[in-house]
Amino acid sequence: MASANKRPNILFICTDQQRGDSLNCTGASWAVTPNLDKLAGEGALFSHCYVQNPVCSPSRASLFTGKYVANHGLHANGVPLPARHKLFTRTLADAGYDCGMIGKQHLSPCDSWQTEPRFDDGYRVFHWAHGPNHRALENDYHAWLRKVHPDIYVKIFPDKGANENTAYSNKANTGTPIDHVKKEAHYSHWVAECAQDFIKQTRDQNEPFCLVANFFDPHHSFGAPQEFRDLIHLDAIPAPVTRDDELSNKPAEQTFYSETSYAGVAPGFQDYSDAQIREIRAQYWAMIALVDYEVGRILQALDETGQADDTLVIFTSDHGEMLGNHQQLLKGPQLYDDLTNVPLIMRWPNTIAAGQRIDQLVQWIDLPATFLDVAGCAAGQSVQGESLLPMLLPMRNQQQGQWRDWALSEYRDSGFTTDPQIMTTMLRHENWKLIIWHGSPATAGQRNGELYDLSSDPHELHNLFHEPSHATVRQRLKLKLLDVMAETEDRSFPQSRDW
Amino acid sequence: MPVINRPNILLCLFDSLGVADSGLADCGLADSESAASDLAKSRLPDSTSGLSTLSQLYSKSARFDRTYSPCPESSPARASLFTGLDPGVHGLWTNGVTLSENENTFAQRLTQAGYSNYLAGRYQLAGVSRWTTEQARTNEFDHMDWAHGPLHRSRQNAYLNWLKELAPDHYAQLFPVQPNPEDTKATSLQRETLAALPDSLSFNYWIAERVEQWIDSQSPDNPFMAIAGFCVGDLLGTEPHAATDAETINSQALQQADVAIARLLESLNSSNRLGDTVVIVTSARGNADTKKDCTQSGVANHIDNALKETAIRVPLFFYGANIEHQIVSAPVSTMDIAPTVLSIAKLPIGPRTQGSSLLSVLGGETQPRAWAMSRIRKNTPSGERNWQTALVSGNLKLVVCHNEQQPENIKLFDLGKDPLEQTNLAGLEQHATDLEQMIDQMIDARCALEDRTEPRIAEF
Repeated sequence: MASANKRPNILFICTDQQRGDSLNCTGASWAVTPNLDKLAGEGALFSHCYVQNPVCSPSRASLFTGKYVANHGLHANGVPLPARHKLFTRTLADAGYDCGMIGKQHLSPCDSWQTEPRFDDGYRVFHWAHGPNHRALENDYHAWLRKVHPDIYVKIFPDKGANENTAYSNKANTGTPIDHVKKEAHYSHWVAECAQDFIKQTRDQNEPFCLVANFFDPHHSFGAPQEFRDLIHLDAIPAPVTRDDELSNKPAEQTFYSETSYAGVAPGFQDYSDAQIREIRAQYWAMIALVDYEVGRILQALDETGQADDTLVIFTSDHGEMLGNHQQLLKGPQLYDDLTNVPLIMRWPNTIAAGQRIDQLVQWIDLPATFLDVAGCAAGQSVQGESLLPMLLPMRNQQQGQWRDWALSEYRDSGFTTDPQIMTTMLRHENWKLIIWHGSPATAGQRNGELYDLSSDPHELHNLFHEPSHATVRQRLKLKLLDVMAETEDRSFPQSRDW
Repeated sequence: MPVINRPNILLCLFDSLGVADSGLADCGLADSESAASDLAKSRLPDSTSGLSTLSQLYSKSARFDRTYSPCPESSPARASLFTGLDPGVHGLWTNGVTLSENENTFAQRLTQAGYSNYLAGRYQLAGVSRWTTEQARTNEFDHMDWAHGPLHRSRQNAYLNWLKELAPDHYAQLFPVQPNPEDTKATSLQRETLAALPDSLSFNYWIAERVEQWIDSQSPDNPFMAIAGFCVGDLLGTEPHAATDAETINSQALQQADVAIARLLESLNSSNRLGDTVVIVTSARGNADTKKDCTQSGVANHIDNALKETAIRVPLFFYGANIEHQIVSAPVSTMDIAPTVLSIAKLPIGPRTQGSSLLSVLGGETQPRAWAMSRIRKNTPSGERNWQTALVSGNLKLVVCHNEQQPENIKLFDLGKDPLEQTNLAGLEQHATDLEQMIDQMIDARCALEDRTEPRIAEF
């Protein structure tokens, strides 16, 4: 199959809960991310990549289906992905790609140690592990740990799993025991081990591969092996972004989410002292340093086997983390850049020019469209994103039409539920960010929302939504949002007849 | 096992009957009598005297005076009516798209519950251009006498096969040549010939006859659901006008349908089945505002009128078993019909439904939704995008054109004072608050109609 060799391998590395600005190369000078910085230097770094939902499962569903949250139906964690969808990995497998998945998937409920059912996903290799503390029998990380480090496994998981462990890990602020094991026994290390094994040994040598390597880090519970914590200088990390009285002109729900996280399931920002918040932030970057180290090992496997030039490497994350900014922690209905802006690096030597920095607004659902594009597959009408290749390749750039000038992110009671349910919608457009806090369509009355001028207020500290001076721009953006909502409807069923 | 007594259901479904055509002068909305009569006059210059059955149903039935179709295009509107889903969710977003096999219509749900189902006439959950036959969906109808319209020349057009056998001379006069899939316009000769047919050979009479015969053949021990798919638009099953598929009313066909409904009611009554049968009269969508909508020069006019009340507001009457006269004047949607049918049949509505049962509204248990959204997503032959969204709430109606962000592309009407939608309030300072509120409500309506039908079964 020499003719198929022109299609690159796709190595998709995705972390969990990693902020867009958390890398050294994206502005965190205190971050220890040499491998990712190098990767960015060798490829393209996107400064404005937005996810379509700020929590795991709905965001990942958008990635794998290529559809906006309103259309794929997995609107909240705990909702299974409706079976009617086709995953991009299935399309790649149909096109001959050797597909594998390692780590966290989360396209179906995982609460109560549930195992995710397999979809018609096209994976030949499937090493599933929802997280380091998740005690499904099918947790492949645990199976590996039991085999390779039985002493560690038995020490940390002495009994059969109880669901309280989830609550425990949600409440921890400096990690759980499994987060602090030596790096050779860590979940992130296991991901890299599996990826190395796939790249070096088990991949089909006759076909290009698509490997999805999903890290759980830097998802809370804010703990990393001590050697990585030792790399982080606590004093170099700035204090969280906020200002006096910041929440008084934000939607009232944000005060609630400051007092408590996950709608009451986890401690809130206000439960912690300043010192504790500082340590949480240090642990966060310790986890990122660990991820960077393990990503380095995966990339090394590509280099060692001479596959780097034939491989499109993508590094990104499914959503961000409040990390104390705006006096809030973890994630939820807040649609700050803290949660919606994620890192995105794409490296494909000799094809994507090195050192590019792309400032245009792009969306996570553009990734599956890009993968199908590089694999020579028709995206089909069901994928709503657009391939990023034209933006990256000088030859194709000239043919490119107008790139979309907006990004959309939608929270639909997606995290831990509240009564009444909270639904929020973010529109990024020009220098503006509009966030609607939805109410009932049956009732009139003033709505709550947020409006930020990111050119003068990049940290989203000053809510202009209710400012009379900004009434015109507010209305203009609301109408733009209505246009975007019409634009993003699912019209993927073909009009096969004229009438 | 207790026996559940499930009523029969007869759905008289028009293709394009606006609310004003069905014989109402008082639309339950207008502030003043003069406004109401303006509306009536603008729609029915010949008065409603010819429509005695619809007029009687109007005054005797439980009726919803502000029922909105989610789309002025026929096929998306029908898909919503049969699935209880918004067009953005069922995915049949414009005419010519086929409803996904993944979706279940209420007819399929009734089949599962043991109903015998029947359809005569138009269905249109798939495209039918080039004289294409619409494929039957699985486990939906025990029998269907499908006919998209009296001039639609599919080989499976049951009406034409009947006409050909019963009145070969008339048939030969109507169709002197073989069907040509490239030529699907009605000729004036065909229109005249069709108009000259005796009533007893008309499309809508045929529907009544077939439905009556089928109902008579049903065992009284088993519930049935029958659909009379009437056709009263001027296209008669042929190709839409170049600019728009909005239809004007063919008043002769409408009168024939009116008589046909009378015949069905009489038949149910004489066979003692009316007490066990709920009769629903409604329309998938409204119709074109004026004749000029449908001409080439009327393109701009059509774009202007695509979401007018005449195009999206339809009659909805419930009559028969245990249903008393009642008037609900708060907005509801034809999306609510599928869950209503399921609750009439004493079946659970199921998660894959966005509408809500109107039976509980009639029973006073729930409030009507009080808002409705409608949209069109159509491109004109010249490639011009005609994408618009309308929201009604209270007396206000907002229409947003998604083509350009020009102030004149936003329209705000006070339907109470201005039922003919002649005065756009959007640019007026004193209505700035109303405008922004309606924009907010439309954004919330968009959110409310997204696909969240998959149940949440765990916290994460």
